[in-house]
Amino acid sequence: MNCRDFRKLVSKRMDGEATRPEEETLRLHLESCADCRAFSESLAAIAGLHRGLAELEPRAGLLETIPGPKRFAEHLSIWWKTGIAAAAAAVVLLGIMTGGYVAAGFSAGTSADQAEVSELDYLGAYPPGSLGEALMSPAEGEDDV
Amino acid sequence: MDDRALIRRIGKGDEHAFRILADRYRRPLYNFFLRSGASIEDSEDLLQQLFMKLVGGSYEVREDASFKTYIYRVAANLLIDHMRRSRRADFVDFDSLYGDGETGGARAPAPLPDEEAEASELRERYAAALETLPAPWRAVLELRVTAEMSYKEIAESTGLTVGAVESILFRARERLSGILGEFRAGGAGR
Ligand SMILES: [Zn+2]
Repeated sequence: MNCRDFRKLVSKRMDGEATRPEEETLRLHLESCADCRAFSESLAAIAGLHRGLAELEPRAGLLETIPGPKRFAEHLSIWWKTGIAAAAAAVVLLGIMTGGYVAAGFSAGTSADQAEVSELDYLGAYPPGSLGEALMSPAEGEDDV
Repeated sequence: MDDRALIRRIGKGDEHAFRILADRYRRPLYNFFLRSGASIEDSEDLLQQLFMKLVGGSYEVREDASFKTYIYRVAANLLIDHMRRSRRADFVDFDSLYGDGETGGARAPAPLPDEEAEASELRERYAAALETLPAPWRAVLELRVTAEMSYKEIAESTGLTVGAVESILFRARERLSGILGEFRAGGAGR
């Protein structure tokens, strides 16, 4: 194992995902390697900075417009009764609710990101619509809307 | 009342249960969208879509998965769709997420003692460094740090492999550490 492998373990340990033997190997290495110790300290500092990021409050009343479960059911039945136009609106709403809109275009990312992404060495098959797919599929060949 | 109990009540049309759940999750989820790179407007929209899904009853929480894992999974899916449809230019400027007295700019911040000024600069630097990460990396980082999901849970919600999740988190931190290290080395003359 080289130092980069140990640094990967530092990150893994930080997430509580390192095995007992991995933790032990890492502990021994850190005792003798000042650079990896510095990296470990740096990640701890980063975690602190991340916790310190400001949290924004969503706009007041943002979710008030969403009908609760009961009103929601009532709305649906009213739409049902009041005819085609309203039914169409309900269809649109249901479409939104089920996330069933068509994803159009695929333009997430600059060429720098794509270089970074293509550098990743675990290319594999990811479910359609997954973050994995978004990560692994550069925008080439896709048109923006 | 725990989330699962609330969900059961919502299923039975309990309005109050829905509001409790919404209050519990709206802020962390909103910030999850923002930090993953969505604009303020889009984050609001995504948050609304998310709760519409919830109240529409199109959720099913597996017995072995927590509601928190579930709702972040739905959030991650919404975000992915959003990322597909958006141009990067629409993504939020991360500086605005670390507003250290920058609100409106009308009032100049009081001068800070050296140490505090440096800490404040470091925080700003960190927010800027985060912005250099590809949005999907930020999303993975948020799922880990904010949503406190395990590698396995992140893998399940994103479709990435566990190995990929581990690798993304390492690379993200490695890069952040590098950027902050440069900053510290460059600014150490004081
Ligand atoms: Zn080392």
